[in-house]
Amino acid sequence: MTVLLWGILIFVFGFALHFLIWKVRLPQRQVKTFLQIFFGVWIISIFSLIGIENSFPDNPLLPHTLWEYIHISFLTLVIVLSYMNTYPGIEADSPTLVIVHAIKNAGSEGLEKSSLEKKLNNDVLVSPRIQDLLTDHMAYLDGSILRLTSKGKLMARIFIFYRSLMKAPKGG
Amino acid sequence: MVTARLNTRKGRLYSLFLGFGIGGAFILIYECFRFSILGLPGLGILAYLACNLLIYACLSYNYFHFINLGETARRIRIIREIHESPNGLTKEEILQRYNAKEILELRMGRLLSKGQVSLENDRYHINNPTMLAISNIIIFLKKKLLGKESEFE
Repeated sequence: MTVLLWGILIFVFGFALHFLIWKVRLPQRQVKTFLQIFFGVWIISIFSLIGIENSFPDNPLLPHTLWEYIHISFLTLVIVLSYMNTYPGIEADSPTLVIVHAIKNAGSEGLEKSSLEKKLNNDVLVSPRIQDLLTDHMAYLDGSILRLTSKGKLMARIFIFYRSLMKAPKGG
Repeated sequence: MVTARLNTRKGRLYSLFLGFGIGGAFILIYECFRFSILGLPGLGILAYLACNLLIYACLSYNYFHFINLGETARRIRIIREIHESPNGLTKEEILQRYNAKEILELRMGRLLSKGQVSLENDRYHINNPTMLAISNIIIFLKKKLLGKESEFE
């Protein structure tokens, strides 16, 4: 019970802080900022729990062993990672979801193919993602030419390797 | 991985769910066996089981997202296109290799083949509300967190 309780609570504390900060000002590099928030909340929570546990050594709702602290940290980490993986879908518009929403908005008459092509052009679907690569330091501009940084190259290699293992095409 | 390589007919999504199911069943059996030896009280067993199943579900979800990134993420596809060109690419060259037309074709193909959307008289209709429900959840989260429905607002 202790591990489940504190693992979820630490995430909730981090999420509440992230929500409040986002309401005040939207950071430029959002994923990096909320990772910093969650990491900070995790460190403070673990040290606070150690401090509280020393004062109340018999409380059954507090962790008492190293294993319990590791278990709590691991649970928090996987929940934070799950949220981090969901977040880009909130930050950027997913083309599939925009398509589905546009079809729904067209009502019972349905949506014409050409109007979808007009709405979802290169300026909407490709240019913002190129800009993201520059903002996240995955790529840099050399004049008008885009080149990958070492971070971008590593990302490319990971996906090329993994998709070749799965016998999967390029994707996109 | 094995089913994805061996069975291309049923698709990668099938292999993913099969893998998650087998892993989940293994965890349940292992935990029941462990608790029968340890003899923990009832509530303690349930809490540990819930905790470990939650960890497994989160790890599975993260793995699913990793696979999905390679499958659908536009950033990853653009990175791959630049990586394949040792001298880099201009924006125009990227758009020749990967553009809105291809993105739309790939996504409409997936939506039609999975039965989420139907095409009648050159008009698209919602066929299955699953993706629409996901779309509504994401829009709700966008409004709450970012205060807007779209990144272009």
